[in-house]
Amino acid sequence: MTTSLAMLSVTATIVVVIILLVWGIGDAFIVRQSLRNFQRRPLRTMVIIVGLMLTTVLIAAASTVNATLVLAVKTVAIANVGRVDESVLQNGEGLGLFPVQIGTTVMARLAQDPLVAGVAPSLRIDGALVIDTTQRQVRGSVNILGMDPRQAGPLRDFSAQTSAPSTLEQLGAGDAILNASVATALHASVGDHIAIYSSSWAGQALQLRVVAIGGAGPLGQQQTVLTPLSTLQHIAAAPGMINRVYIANVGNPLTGSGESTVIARTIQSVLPPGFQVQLVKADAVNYALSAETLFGRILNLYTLFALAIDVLLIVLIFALLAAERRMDLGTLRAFGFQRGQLVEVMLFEAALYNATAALPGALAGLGLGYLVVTLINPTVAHLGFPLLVRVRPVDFVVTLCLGFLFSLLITALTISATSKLNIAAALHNAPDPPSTAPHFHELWQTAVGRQHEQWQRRLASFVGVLWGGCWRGFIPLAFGLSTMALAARHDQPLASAIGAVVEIGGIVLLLRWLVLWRAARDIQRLREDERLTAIERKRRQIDRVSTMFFGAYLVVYWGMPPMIAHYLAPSRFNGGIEEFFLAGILMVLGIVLAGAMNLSWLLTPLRALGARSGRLRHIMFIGLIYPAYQRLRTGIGLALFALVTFVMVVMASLTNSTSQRYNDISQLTGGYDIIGQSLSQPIGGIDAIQRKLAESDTHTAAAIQNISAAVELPLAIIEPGGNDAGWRLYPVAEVSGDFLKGAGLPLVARAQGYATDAAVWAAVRDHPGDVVIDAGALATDEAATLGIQAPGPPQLEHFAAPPIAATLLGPSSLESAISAPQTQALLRQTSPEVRALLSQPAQLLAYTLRLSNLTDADGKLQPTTVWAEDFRGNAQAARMTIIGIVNNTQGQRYGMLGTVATFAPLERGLTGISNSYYYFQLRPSADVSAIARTLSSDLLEYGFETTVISQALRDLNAPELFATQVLLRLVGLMLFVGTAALMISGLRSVVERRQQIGMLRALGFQRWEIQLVFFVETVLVAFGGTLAGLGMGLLLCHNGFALTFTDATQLGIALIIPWGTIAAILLIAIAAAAVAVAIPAYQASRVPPAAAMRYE
Amino acid sequence: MNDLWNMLRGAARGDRADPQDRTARDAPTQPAIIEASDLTKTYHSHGIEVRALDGVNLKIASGAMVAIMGASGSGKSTLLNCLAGLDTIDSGRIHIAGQDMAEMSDRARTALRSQTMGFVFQTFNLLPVLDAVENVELPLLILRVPATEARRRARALLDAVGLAHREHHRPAELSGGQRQRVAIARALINDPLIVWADEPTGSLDSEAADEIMHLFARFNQEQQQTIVIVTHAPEIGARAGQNLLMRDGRLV
Repeated sequence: MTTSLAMLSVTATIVVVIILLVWGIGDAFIVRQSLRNFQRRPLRTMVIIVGLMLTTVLIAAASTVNATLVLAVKTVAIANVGRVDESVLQNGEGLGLFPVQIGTTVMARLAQDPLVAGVAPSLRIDGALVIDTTQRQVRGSVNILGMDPRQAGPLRDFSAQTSAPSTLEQLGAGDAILNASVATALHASVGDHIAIYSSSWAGQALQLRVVAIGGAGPLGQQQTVLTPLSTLQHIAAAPGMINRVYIANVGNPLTGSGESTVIARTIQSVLPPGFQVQLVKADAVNYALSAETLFGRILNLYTLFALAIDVLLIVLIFALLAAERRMDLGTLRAFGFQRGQLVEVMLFEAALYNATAALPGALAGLGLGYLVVTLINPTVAHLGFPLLVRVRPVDFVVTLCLGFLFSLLITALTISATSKLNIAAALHNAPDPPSTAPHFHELWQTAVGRQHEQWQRRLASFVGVLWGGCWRGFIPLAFGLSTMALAARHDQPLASAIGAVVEIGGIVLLLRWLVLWRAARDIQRLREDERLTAIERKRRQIDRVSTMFFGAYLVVYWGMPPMIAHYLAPSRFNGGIEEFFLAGILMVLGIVLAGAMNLSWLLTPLRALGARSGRLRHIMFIGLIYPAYQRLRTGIGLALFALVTFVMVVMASLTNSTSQRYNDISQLTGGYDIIGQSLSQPIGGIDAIQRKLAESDTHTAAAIQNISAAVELPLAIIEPGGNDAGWRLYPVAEVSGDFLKGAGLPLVARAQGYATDAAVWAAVRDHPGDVVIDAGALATDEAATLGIQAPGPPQLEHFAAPPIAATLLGPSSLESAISAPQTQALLRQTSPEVRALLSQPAQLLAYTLRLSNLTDADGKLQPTTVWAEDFRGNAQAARMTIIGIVNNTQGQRYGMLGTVATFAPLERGLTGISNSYYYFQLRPSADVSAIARTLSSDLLEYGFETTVISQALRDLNAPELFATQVLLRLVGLMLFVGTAALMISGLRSVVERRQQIGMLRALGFQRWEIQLVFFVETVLVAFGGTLAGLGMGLLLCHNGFALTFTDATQLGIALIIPWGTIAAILLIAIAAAAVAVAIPAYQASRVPPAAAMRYE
Repeated sequence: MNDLWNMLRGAARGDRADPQDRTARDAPTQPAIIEASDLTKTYHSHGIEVRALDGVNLKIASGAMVAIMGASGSGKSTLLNCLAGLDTIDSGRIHIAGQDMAEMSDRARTALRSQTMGFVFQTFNLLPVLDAVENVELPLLILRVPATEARRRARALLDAVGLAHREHHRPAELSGGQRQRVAIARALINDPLIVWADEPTGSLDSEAADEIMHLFARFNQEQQQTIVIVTHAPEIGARAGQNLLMRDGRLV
């Protein structure tokens, strides 16, 4: 795909260059004139080139960052799965054992295959419990792997970190190699003794001696213990049996998976029925990349906005260039130059600028991307994330060519539009007079009515009719209505929204035309020499009103809250970045259109203030009048800054919202440091732990501040008074210890009658039946009534995981939440319907509890009754009263929480659930890692596995943290564009207004006063644009976020606006404007009055 | 700043001759309001030197109406720019109402211009963003005259130049002659001691040019302002009280 895009872009670039060269060779004047203009004013040329470079800079930077991100995500995915590219396994449940002969057959088939580097028939036992008896540490969910090493190739490469025997052939019957992951978790060393427990050899322990600590190993970063195949077959009572054939492809571990499909086909041909070939690496990479999709979407959105900003910048540059050359162009036209020839001259010159800008731009973008990634390196170093800047030559070529072509295209369009001038007006540098186009019906006659008309005239008239139809609103109105009708028929909300916008635009144009027509009739009564001025003034007034109305409509339509939009307007969104982009662009367009056209009105209060500004009065007078007069320039300047700020606000909010759940570790952990779980036998509760520690390890006991425990229960809940009364699912946990004092479970609402949080917890502790529930259980309206920003609903893992840090992939029982043996056993007791629900996240959502009747008429939380029963079905239901809402704004903790006494009646007659999670909050001075280790050691007899929560969360979220950091910095680059645009605009302004500046100096303006005039103008545009962008960004984020971009209902991400960052953006934007104006203002103040008078 | 202003006005106005006595004003017998000696100015570009002013000496009496004439490139506009403090000189002395311009900082020169001078140029140099009355009142805003007073005086002057009905028209909506009349009103709004006019009729037809010269003459007589006009047109020079002819950067 990328290669064909590269071919296409290179071909297109070559074709364009050839066309330009042919033009140049055919007309020496074009080349001479273009080169002369190019060299004439070096500063101007430099400014234009820098402006054009920004296009490729942004695209190249985004491309570099994206490639780096993808590479990093792939690397992580591959590091997780290891060197295995394909795996052969038997369909079915259990260990999936099959005779080793199958492996031999596969080995034979692939022996000569040039695509295959290694084949290893293996036996793999998952979910084992490993106890390092030397270190007294425990780890669950470990893979035990035995492998036939004969043809294993790279699969046998354990990249030994120790000097002990590390090849599979050298392993003795009682030897084990630990890979780095499990070794780190167990703090293991060579020579340690380990005992391995598994349900595959229940009642026995596989005793081994660690002979080597490896690197990643064949299974990558999955916790793996490697032992001789025969040893494993013996203990698992499976002599001559295996359950995997692992295959490693030749080549780079990153690219090897590209041949997986071919190899899988080869293997499949020798396999008996009932076997499958799993594309391990390709699947892992695809899965990882799909997880990266959210950030990819944000990056795409960024690129789209960057391109929009670039368009504005290019238009600004060349519109200003054309304005500067207007007199020259008028002279050339007067001497007989065709308009097309003018376009050719300017286009050739523009091509020179673009060609000069493309390569440095692409290189600068690449460098900037590199810089962004490099700057982040220290920030994410602790994550151990593989950060390699990746620049693919093909991407570079595409960026280079596309940057050149894109700039040239926009340039050509701008030049074409600006080359249309009134020669007489241009010669005298006067404004264009009103249009003298033929009357509409005359054009119509020429286009379709008259016989024997030349086809060129007919075509031109037809275009004139279309143009007139557009300006009179007929065509947009018809187009808008028909688009809406078609969109409604095909259920296309986006098309419908576009239709609505065009339709309203048509109505506005139609009304404008009618009012203008009516005004013209009145003006006919005036003196002849007054008519033209009068009608022009009227037109300006009407244009102001119409743009104000249309701009306001765009802002309101795209920015209105979903609830109102639901009743007032057809659907606007169906979730996609193109809609978010369109909404953003149109909102900014709307506010800029309304603002720029009505600036003279909007600035009236400021002018009144300026008139009272004493010594600065004349500066304010001039500084405030230019922006209102130069509407196009001001409009583009406003749009640029508004768009830049808008993008920064939206991006900051998106990245903040998505990263919040990864970044704020203390929020995620509820302040707890260690999570622990007994894997071999029940420990007997918090009291037992405290007793044991008090007896054997007072140091550890003293370091612990709070201990809490939770047991997840499989309950269904019904809210009898709710809007959707029916049995619904929701995580429920029986909690004890300091949870019942509120430690780690802050409340966000209390029921009437409970004065303090402590009173709520006292009731939960002392009154069986009183419970609290997290904010995720609230229906949207209820959450809004209570002023709570509710997170998305719980996901699958929350139903079988502890209430805090449920997504943690560290503790063994959490890693395989639903598939853990105990949970599996639990699920087997439930009805098939419930099992189906729990395995179908989409259906789960429909059956998730949504409390809807908790508040009274005054919006206060009332104690609310719900009923609950165990969905394993013992016909025992119990009444519960919700008296508090646990803060869960970021989806970090889920569940209805109560005491053992509360839930005991529901569990009567059912198998007890002993899957307890223990949370330890340590005193501030404690060494968390050391305490985690000693806790595991002290409670070894219970197989007590401990995990440092913050570290596990960081490891888990490393890619997201990295992506967030990258995106935030990339967004910052946008401000460069805005600053550059203001600087370019300012510099052009100095050039254009040189004579006027000279006159002001002659009249008595001091140098600093001229500087201040420019400062006022620029800051006005920057501040106006920034405010507009900020307002629109917040509005769109607030009203469009939940329903669209991040698809919060599925991802569980709530909008969190980073006010601090936004304040910083505002300050930086204004500071950037001050920097942008510094050079033009200085230049302006240095203009010698007499020289300025001579300047033409 | 006000002291300077009062001093300048005192120096200039105190010794003014009877407006009816043209002879006194035609010859530099009155105290000179503009005095220049040994002015030189050379333009340099890529190793080429062009001497624009080559030892110019002159005295212009207060209240005089003087035309500086000469062919294109003779240095007359350069002389005007240097005398008015719009441009710098290489050597020599310029005294305006007794103040040595060469010794002044840019800031002081700018203040002197705003308080004592008015300008009219061939290309009008009105600010296109302002309407007629706003253009005229601008110099008063620089001098911090209250807004209502500035507007009143601007309107009065526009009325005086016959453009009361065009006060809210922007320059683009006015004819060339009208624009120049606005420019003259602007030049006179701060009641200047000296009005500098560089080819004020160069862009106008003969009828409009005649109107403009009539206005200059009227204000010169009524307001006693010193008017220095740069022109190459003999008919304009003929209407001035005193003619100075320039050739190759020298007064001849």
